[in-house]
Amino acid sequence: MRDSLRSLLRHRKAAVGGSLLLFFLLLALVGPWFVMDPTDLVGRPHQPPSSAHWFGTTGQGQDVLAQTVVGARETLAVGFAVGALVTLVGALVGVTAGYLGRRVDDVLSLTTNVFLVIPGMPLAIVLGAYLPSGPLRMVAVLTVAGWAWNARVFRAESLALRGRDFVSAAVVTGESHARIVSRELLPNMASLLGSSFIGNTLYAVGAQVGLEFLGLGDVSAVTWGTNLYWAGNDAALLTRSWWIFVPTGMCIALVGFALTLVSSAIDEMTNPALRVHKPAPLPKGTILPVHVDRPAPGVLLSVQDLSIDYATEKGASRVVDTVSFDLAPGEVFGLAGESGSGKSTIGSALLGLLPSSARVTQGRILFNGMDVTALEGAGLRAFRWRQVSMVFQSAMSALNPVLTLGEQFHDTLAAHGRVSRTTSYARARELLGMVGLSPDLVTAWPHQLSGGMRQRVGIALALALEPRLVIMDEPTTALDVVVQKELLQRMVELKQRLGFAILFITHDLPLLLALSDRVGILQGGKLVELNTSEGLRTNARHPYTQLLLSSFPHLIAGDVSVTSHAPATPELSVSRPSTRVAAIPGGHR
Amino acid sequence: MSAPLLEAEGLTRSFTVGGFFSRERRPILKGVSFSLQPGEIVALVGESGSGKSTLARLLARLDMPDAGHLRLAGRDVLADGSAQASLDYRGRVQMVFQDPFASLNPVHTVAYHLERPLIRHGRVPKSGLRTKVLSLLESVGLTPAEHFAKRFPHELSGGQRQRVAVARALAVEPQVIIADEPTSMLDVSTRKGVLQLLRGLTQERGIGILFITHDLASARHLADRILVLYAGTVVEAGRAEQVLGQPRHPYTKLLLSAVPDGVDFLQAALPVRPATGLPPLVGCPFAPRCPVSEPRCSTLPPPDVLPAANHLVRCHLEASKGVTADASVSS
Repeated sequence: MRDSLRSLLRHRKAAVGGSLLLFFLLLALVGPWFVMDPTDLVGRPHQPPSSAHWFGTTGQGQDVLAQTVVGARETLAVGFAVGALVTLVGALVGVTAGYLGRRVDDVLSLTTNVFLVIPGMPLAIVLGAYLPSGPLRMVAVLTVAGWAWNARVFRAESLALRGRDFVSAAVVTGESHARIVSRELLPNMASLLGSSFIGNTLYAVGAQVGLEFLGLGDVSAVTWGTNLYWAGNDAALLTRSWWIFVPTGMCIALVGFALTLVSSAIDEMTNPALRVHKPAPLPKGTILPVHVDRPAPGVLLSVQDLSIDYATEKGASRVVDTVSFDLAPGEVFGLAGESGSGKSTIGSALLGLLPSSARVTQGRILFNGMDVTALEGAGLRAFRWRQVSMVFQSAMSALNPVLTLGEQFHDTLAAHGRVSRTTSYARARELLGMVGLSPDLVTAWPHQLSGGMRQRVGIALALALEPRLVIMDEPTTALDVVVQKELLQRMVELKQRLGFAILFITHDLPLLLALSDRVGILQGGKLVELNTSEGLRTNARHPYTQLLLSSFPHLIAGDVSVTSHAPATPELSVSRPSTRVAAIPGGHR
Repeated sequence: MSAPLLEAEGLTRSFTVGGFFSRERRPILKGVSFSLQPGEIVALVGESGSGKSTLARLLARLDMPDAGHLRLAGRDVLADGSAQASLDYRGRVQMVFQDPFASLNPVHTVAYHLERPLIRHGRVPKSGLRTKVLSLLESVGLTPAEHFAKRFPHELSGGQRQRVAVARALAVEPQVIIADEPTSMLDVSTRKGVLQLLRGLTQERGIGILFITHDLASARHLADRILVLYAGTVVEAGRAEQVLGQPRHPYTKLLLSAVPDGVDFLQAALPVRPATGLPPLVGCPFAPRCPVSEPRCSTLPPPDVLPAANHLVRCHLEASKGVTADASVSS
């Protein structure tokens, strides 16, 4: 809590908006004691600013400064009251509807939608006509006209949260509905509550001023809205008495500006996606000079002393640390490691897909003698997919949901040379057949396929340009074992037929040992062991490799069982500090 | 044998599929029966879509079955819908969720997560709350407990979070824990610790655990008995070494052959025919994919066969070999 307050203060938008808002609040609270009575007719009408009346006088001879300062009090009081009420009513209705669902949701959603359809301003005018005059009338009118939109926002948010396991866990604990809503759901919406409150206050100030300007408020009260109403009535524009309406107008604009700043500051601070990162600069890399070697015979890919740093707020964080390995044409090379080991980062670096916060700070990646880390622009585009392609972990999100499979193949093929749609579709049918899918699926949409089928499409797409290396980043992690084996068998068969090499990245060491020719074990960004699968299986030397191997229970009897009273696995010693891992996006958990 | 701790009989659940006006229902669970004894771990294995998680939600009473009975220590729990009965059930049956990143509320401390069940079920007096929370943390191996009690979930690793989730389930001193794939989201080097923790609970406290998983290898090491679920039906059930050592059902054999184990894993062909759409509603649900299916498989529901004591198989081919049992007998 203290941390979030501190970051609020450090935030420039929040600081500017907050101090402006604070100024107006102080003005509204103590200002009226320092100015004259705003209703007294203290001077001649329509007088420009003078030493006696700093902001001049109104069309009736009242002091404009006094009117502006005193007007702040009711305007802001009503604004914040309506902001709070609208947020409260909207949150209660929305969260109740979203959490309870079914019939309750039907009734509440219908009510909300009816209120949404009724235009707010006419509703407020009609309501205003029937209620007794006074500031409370304005509060009631604006709350009734404004809560519905909020209810929708909060309903959507609670629908998303309701599906989370911690809500189910609270139900299993035996918590009551009221407690789940108040202690489990609402605290998770704190930022939404905050920014809604500010946003609703903004709405309330605007709508209130609007209604009062039209003469629909209490015209005898002194508020910013009535100030403008009287300015209009007294023909301030016709008499060119700009001093009558400019101060009030400026105040309204500044309050609106301050509220907008605070609201967007809350959004930015709570939604990391909107935050502008200012990470510490990365150390200057010591990338080896680019010179094209003659490719060593029997080496397709050569990773040499590769180090990759992520820029974080706490400084550079080394994710890949002087990793070297070679890959022969047609070889299956496995990279094994746990979350945070840097295995996916290496895969991204090979395709030049590193996020902007990451950089290769040392070493180089040679593909067929060409330095991949030095590629840019058109060269990189030509290299990607044609030379090296990739199969991603989440088949679900790797395919574009709004394009048919044929279109996705056409996109891929057309990005690397002019092809007609007919040619693309023919090639797509051929590729789909190759991975064991029906060629007719070329007209299907991604959502019509199962997870295993989607991953087959992913492989077909990766093979579309006949690359020499396919990187597979956990391609089977989300799949069932039977589907996994079907997929892997198909892949091995295709590899033998087409002769591409595979870099297989996974946490599943037994799978990797069965699949790969050679395997590298990554721990905390370092390649701790590299050997043939056979060598690792029989003669793992590094303690971490041994730990990984013993962590997988086997079906065959005789290995270490979980029932044995071996000392508990030392979790912390093998995983990196969680703060460091948390700063690194991507990767499986 | 005394009355089992938790007994499910013919649990059925179907969901409406299709749009707003659709009345079509798709069965997810088709009469699942099983029992759980004190101190026993029963593993429920099956692929995604087999109904594992739906069954877990029914047993944790997060959802109501369409038909069937659920008995806790011989008492039917579905018959009494009162709030007190529900609270009583939750005091005895707890659940550990799959994703420790989602099952702890990010806004609450570890201590809060453990205090709530203690307060809600009146397990300790107010004064003993702190001591009990710390001892719970120690019992799941999170030491120093004072250090972990004041942490927030995002400050812990996945394995540590899952231990907190287990500690929360233990707080009410339950008799049954339903563990829904508790290790699938964890790194391999932390998995074993969580599995050892669960095994220790059955031995020390006599808690019965239903261990839901898709990983046959962990099931083999952890479980006393295994239920194999396919398309909402238990196709094979029995002692772990029996089901995995001498599998009878073609689907169990298929699952076993797909476990990545050994050098020649990829060389051996899968005993399966390519999948064709959703499993059929009549006959054996596995028939379209079964490599040894016969015409009767797609028309008649397979009978319950008991090839050995405590070993149940639902397959026509087993029926012609062995003795057909009365359909009411279950595992």
